[in-house]
Amino acid sequence: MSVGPYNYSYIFKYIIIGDMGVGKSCLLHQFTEKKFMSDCPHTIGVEFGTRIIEVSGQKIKLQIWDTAGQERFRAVTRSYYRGAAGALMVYDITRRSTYNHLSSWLTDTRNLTNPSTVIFLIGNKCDLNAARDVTYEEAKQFADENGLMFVEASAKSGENVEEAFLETAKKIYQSIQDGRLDLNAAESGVQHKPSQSGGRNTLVNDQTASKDSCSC
Amino acid sequence: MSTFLANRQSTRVAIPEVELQQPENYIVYHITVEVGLVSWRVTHRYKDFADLHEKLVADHGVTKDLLPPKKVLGNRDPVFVEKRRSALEVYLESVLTFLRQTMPRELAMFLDFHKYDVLFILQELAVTFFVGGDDYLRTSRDYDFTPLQLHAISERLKQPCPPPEMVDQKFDFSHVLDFCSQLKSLTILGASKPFCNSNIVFNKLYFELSSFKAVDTLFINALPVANIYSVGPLRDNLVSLTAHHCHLERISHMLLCDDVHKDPASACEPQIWKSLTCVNLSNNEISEIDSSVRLMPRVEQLFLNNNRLHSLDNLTLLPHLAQLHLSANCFSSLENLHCKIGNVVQLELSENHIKTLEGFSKLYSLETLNLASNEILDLGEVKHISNLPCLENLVLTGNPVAIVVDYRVKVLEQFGNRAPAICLDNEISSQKELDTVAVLQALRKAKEGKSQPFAYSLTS
Repeated sequence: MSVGPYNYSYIFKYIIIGDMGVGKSCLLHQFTEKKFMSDCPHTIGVEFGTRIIEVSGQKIKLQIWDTAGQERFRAVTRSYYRGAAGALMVYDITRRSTYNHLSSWLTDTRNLTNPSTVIFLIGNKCDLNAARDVTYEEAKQFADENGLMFVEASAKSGENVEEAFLETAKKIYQSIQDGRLDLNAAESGVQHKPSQSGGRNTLVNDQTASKDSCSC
Repeated sequence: MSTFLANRQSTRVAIPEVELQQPENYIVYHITVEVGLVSWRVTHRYKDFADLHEKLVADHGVTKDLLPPKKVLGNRDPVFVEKRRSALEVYLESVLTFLRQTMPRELAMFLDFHKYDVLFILQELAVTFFVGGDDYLRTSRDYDFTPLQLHAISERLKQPCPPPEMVDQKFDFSHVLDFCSQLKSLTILGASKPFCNSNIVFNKLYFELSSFKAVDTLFINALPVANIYSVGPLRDNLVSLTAHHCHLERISHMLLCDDVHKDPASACEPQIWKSLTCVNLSNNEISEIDSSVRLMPRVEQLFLNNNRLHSLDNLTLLPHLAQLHLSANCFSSLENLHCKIGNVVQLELSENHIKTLEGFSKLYSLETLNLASNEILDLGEVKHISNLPCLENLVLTGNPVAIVVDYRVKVLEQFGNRAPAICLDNEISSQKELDTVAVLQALRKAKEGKSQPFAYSLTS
């Protein structure tokens, strides 16, 4: 009945985690705006972004929480894990320390999310192959051992960024189809959006009365 | 703004008063709720207590006989009412103690937490936006947020831990941010009186606007702009800014609202409003155009009506300025305007104290000039603007000069060949007027021709 950006049947909640400077906000920006942000400021607390995608003919809105990587925000960001349907865990292939910290991020994720949360490992900055510090094989093995999905991506070139977000959504959607994920559970991170009734406006803004007319 | 989460232990309820509601003729109980320093009043009758109690018994394990019993007859007897008041007070206190940790929605709504508390305001907003937000955005651009709601969003973003019990995902804060990040036009209406039945004053609440990533139009009314402690992405995205009745004394107070010092001299690159083209700061107390205007270099339309301006400074910092609205200010003399606003196409100066038009003589880009209700006395003043090549709309009504006999014709006559192109006082000249103008011009030429034959032959 209605078309455009406001028509979708599911909402999935995502969270992006990983060390400081691995490119979490840039991945989000690349995914939502299809642009690379070259001078990205440090995230303070959390950032937020949305995009509507299509999986198996179903429109799905992703609500993505991008967390701060800095240690001092760990307490803030921990609270956003709850109710995430997908977790994108990011490291920087040119900095081994960010890879070494993955197990601690993974522990947090496992402890704070539910068993059906899809965890996707992203090795970011794959455009900087020359400065590589972590091999693909090594990370792949880590992912396999821990049952994670894995790609190497580049927020700069956009390579594999789309794929990471979409594959995660596909996996979540599959869990719903299989009945492994309970839509009604508050912590599932997935919401079914009741079909909307065309152009009817249900939200009424009640404060518009006493407004001066602006001539511009 | 109350934050129940942080003040669980210092939350108190009491029922200090009862009142006989007329004309319905039943007793209502005035409940006061205190959360930390914030307090408010809610009014309920016994029936509301009974309804609440039913739900709390069914879903939250409250003991059934906790509520004082119903009474059919004589329930307005003062002695009985007083007894019931204190019983209900005890009831509320014990329910609150029992449910302090979980704070079920039914109880929160009964006590009006959804109007005054961060957590519950946001739950209320989340569910509104979840249900109707997308439909709303499909048809409307603009949404009004109260300073209280914005404060709640700002505070919530700072909280390390979201509420432990998430009742239902439709109450999730994501829906609020989702809506905010898509909204195009934001309206904020301030207020200096306490909000509803609480001691919360909108204009004492601080907030930031980082969640509004797509907003290109901002309308503020009667709000101290210094309460906005970060404008977030608005510096990059805002196209139209309006702030009325905000008691602004300087333009820098608006443009640097989130800067502590608000000093235009030290303002730097990141503080530039990159996309701002229309700025309306009418109805304030601005007495000077300070150099902070360079922070909005793309401005094309500037509205400063109803302020306290008496001179034009720093406008050369706005190379794109085409429309300037300065009605109802304190201008009396304006000299050499072409050195200040040479590129302006539309100039509104009604309701000032202008006596002479000498300074306007070189505003060669000007198409519209509104000088209604000033103090121009002499028809000769029009001579100064008669050479402006693009002028099409001129308003002089409300000046002493406008009561001169044959005023229209006498004004138009001075524009020579361009007289038919001029629309005076929003009225296109009639053929009769233009004929008279032509006759006057011919007479003048003839007169000048006789006395100054050389000049005549040069111009013809």
